Amino acid sequence: MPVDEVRHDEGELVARATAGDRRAFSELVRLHQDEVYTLAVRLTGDRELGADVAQESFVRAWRAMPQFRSEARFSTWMYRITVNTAGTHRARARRQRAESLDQLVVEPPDAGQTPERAAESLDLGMRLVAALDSLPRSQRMVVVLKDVYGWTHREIAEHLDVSVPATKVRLHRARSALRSALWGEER
Amino acid sequence: MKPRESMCAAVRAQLPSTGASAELPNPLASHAAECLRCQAEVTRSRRIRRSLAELADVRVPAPAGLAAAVEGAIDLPVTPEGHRIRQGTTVAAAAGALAAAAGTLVVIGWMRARSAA
Repeated sequence: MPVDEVRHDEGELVARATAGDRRAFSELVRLHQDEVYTLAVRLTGDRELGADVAQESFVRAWRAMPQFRSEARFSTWMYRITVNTAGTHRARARRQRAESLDQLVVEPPDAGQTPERAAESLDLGMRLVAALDSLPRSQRMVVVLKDVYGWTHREIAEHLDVSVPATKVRLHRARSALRSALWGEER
Repeated sequence: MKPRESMCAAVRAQLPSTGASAELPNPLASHAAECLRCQAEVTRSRRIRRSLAELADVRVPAPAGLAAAVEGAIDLPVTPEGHRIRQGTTVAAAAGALAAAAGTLVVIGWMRARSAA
């Protein structure tokens, strides 16, 4: 189905859901559950907690549907709700590192890459996800939103209810910690 | 600390605050252009940034029951898919219980036969 057609259908679903149509909202959940869940897992560093955050985010979205402005994209709006939900969700005990490696879904290597380069890239990706998951939550949320999702410091500060300088400090620490986790401390 | 080492330390300290392409301000950039150790650090920083950006395209598939759980939470009657999940779980649980009971009976029979012998 062409992208414009999908968006048109989604526009109809959003309009119906805003008017209180639960089935239309349910369709929206099915359309966006993977991206919302992915963001939730990245922010929490935990698959189970990510599922809780994703579910709670959709429930919050349903309750807030009457306030949804149609000029915004539903996915962008859902992302913001998910970030807010993850920010307030109670953290659970950290699981084993092996579980974090297990949850990585990696795309097939680029066909143009040599096998050695592809393996190296895959290895770095797996170690990076494990390192991300091991960061303190406040640092992980900032580095995920900035370096993975491309948010600005101002957007991050607004959604995490912290100052812009605080997000910059957290980003600096998170990147330093990732560098150390991947290649060790520089002597 | 020697001047060269202090420049290397300054590069390492500055890199986590640089933009997406890990561009250093001068005079650190000039130093890094001449220093192999710092060039390696810049390369590492760029690899981390690139790998993080690539994560945006890597989807983690939502668990099968997420949509049904949301439907349940907003008081929507559970969809056929949700029913299938529940029915499947019930059937699997019943089959497991039957298998366990049958296994127990077999073991008891075997033990009785053995004690009789």
